[in-house]
Amino acid sequence: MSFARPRRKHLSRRTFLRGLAGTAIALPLLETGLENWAMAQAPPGTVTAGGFPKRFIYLFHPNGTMPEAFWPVAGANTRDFQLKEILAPLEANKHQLIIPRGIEMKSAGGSVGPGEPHQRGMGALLTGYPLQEGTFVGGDGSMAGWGDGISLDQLIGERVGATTPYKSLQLGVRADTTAPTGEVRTRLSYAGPGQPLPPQNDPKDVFDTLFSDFQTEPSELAALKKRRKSVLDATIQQFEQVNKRAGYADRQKLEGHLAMIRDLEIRLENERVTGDACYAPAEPEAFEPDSEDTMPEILRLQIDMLVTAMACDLTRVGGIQISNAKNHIRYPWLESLGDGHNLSHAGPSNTDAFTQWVKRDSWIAEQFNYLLTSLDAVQEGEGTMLDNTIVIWINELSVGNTHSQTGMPFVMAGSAGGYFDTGQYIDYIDIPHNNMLVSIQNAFGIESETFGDPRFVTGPLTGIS
Amino acid sequence: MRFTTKLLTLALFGVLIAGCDSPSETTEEVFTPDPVEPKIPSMDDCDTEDIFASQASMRLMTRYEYDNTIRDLLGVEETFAKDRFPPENAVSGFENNSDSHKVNPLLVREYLDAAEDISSRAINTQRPLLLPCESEDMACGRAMIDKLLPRAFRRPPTEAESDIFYTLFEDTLAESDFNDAAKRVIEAVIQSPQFLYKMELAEGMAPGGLVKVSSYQMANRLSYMIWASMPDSKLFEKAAADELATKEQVEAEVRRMMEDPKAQEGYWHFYRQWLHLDALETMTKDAELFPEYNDQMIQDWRQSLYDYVKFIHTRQPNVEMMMSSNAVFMNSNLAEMYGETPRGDSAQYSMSKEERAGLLTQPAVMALLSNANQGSPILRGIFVRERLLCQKLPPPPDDIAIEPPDPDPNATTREVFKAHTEVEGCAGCHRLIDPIGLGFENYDGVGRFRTVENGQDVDASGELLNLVDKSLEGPFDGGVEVATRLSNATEVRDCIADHWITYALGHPEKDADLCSAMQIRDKFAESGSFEDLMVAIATADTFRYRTVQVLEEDAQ
Repeated sequence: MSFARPRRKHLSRRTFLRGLAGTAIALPLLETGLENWAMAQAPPGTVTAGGFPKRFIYLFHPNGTMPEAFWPVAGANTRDFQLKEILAPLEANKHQLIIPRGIEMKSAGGSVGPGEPHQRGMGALLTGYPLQEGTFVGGDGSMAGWGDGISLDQLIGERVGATTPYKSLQLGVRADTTAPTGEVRTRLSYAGPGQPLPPQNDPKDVFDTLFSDFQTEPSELAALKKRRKSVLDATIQQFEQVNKRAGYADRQKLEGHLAMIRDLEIRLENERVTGDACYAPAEPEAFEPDSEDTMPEILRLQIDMLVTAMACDLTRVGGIQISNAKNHIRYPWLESLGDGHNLSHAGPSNTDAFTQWVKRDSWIAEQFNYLLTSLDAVQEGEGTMLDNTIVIWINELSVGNTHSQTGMPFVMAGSAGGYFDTGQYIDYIDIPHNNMLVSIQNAFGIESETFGDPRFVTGPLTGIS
Repeated sequence: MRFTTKLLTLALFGVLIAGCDSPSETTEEVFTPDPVEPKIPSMDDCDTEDIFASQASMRLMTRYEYDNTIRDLLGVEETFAKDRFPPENAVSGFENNSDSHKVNPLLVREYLDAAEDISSRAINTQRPLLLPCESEDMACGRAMIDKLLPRAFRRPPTEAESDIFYTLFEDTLAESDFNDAAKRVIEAVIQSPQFLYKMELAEGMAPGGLVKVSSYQMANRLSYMIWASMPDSKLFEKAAADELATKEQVEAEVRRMMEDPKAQEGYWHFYRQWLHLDALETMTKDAELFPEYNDQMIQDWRQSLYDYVKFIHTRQPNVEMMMSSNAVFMNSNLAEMYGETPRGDSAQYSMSKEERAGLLTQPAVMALLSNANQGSPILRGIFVRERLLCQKLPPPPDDIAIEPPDPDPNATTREVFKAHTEVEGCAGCHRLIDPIGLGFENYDGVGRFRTVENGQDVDASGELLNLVDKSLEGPFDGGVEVATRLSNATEVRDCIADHWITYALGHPEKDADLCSAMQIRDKFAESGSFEDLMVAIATADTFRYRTVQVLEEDAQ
């Protein structure tokens, strides 16, 4: 047995097909908006006035920030503010931002559920619930289970994603560095309580999933769809054979699995091919997805593919998770070689650690800006795809040194089709982060004034919609 | 003798089911007998002849099992699942845990993609293995399905199950061609639940009742425990003849299976999870402090441990040897680092018995239980407590930033950590961790033996505290002494046995497993032989019997 890491050999399903030769930049499929029938089918609040689908994206990176270098300098009113070092790369998109200060992750509080702050922060970020009890051991030895509710992205996915080939995409950039197996500090999206959704860390896999059928001729794709349906139909019949014969607990699992296959069948039916204006990106080369040296390239690829997937309406909901809570990664491309979690624990008096951390967070801001700029480059009617999207940049802590979860360093961008009033820096004083999740669900026509654990929510954020 | 007639009936019923794993053709409404109360033992019950077994949930194949099973089923050797499938959600360190490893939409999609890759590979390269005939017609298609299905489902298929694939084949043949028909059948087969899950059906059985595991089910339990793959032809033969029914039959089969090279891979798979060795993959070392280090060593250390585990399990498979052998395996890259003469890959070195004793002092383990810049008494102490003694350490207070101290060129690691953990609020737990971990001070951050650190003599004195067996407690000097002392400790053996039980059953010990677990632990404590441990698990009541699932999920 040898442990040399094999380079991936892909005998992909493209061997079935005669793929078209490589392609250029992504352009929108939806130059003129959704067709009338799609408009008619769409639930209220999920399509913009111009007829384009609304989208939701989250970008995550862990271990808190350095507040001194993060928060803008406030001016005369909420529209008058200056970005400091960390957010400086976002200057060109400043008018698209809402920077809400004073948000506390109350649903991740130490007295309301099990786990240590990294665990609690991850589980509560998008679910708004304290963690389940469980056996994941945290950095300080405390124990916790999974997140305990459906995450915001999945809730929105259920509302906006019924007709897209993918309900949502979870993409990762070394999102599993803490443990080789899935655990609470490495997951953000949840299909429901205790049902985490794993991110895809390898851009090649993502490309294969999203685009390998994309460059097929329409007639070939029709044949492929028919073929896959015949295979999955036989598989579904096999489920029916055993469901009745299985034990009680097993039947529940089988039915859950079967539901996912039926869903896959429907989504495969909605797969698209390159049209007049929608092209797959160039196929990425093979990466070792767990190498620290290639993180910047992998992140770029993941952003590019997510933006393309949204421009082509393959999905309307996506997340990019950079690393995971309590990571220990280094940023060699910034010549920042400290262990991430250790650095985050250095106080502001440690100037070397502070400088490294600011450099790292500022680099993440550059990537966030790249995502926004890429969305903004896609013209949709009178506006751009960024106008029709709400993007959030999130973290499971506010300050690594103290494991604090007050003053969460969140940034929102894009107006979700004019729903949000952007270009503001607002200091809310001590409001629960579930409120921000409420605001975002409201932007998609989910009218409820509560999200997550009702003990930790007081309604939507004020002054932004 | 408290053997009730009800129990006997149920046991017989189980055997009957095993004998006729036959179709229920017209499964309109399946008759389910009335539920009975599941039997949970108390301590006293373990001295009786009464039989207790836990409810077995079906288990989704792990990535590792999937790749192995595809290799053994279709002859296609490739890491499809390892490369593409999302990682399992492990609980108690094991990927195969039935409650936590579940499907998700991404995995279901990956099953489809993998199936398409695999079927092409199989039909293009393994035709003689898969097709028992050369005529490209329906008759040959049926023959292929008849050959494939019992192996893929790891039991005889029902007629209804086969019919679905006959129909798929026939329909495809009509609209496409023979190869496509064969491929589609393979794809549908390996996405079917009977393939993906290790499943024990409950048709016609009273929920809560005790049934005997059928010979086919036993073949599956054994092959996934020892090989992490599907049964081989010999196991299938035994299953077909219902010759995995008695303890003697099971033991004979376990002893045969352990001779197969696949067993070594299976053991390694267990060790990797038990000892959290995947942490090697994300480990970093400070290149300035350790100029001899290079990135290739990550894989070399892994190989070194693999070779050590293989050596123990093939040469002297017992816990005492595992904890005390002075054998270390190194390639040239590692040999240079540890000051030995390079002798090529996987070369065996007999190290000084003053410096190395068994698993704990393996260079790779000591390097793993280190920070990037220095050895970590804390990681080493925790490793012994949690991995070898199965103790759960209480969490430290919530408001303390937990950070290892930076190394000091003028102080020893012991001194640096001492100041760190004497802080109020930390000392309580570190009293349990540090005295063990500091006993490994002779091993630096890359696992090299040393007697001097930063110009000072190394103090490797330590102390064992808070053990069940008080005779093991007390001071010791150095890793060799503590490893040797633990090599005979009953609580270390119990801990290893518990990990194996969890792995073999696919769940942490449940109440109903109590008596079986106690018997297994007793046998392993007495003999220390890993082979005896495998036999003890495979012949335990909870492995040979099962309780039919009841409606309430948490009822055990």
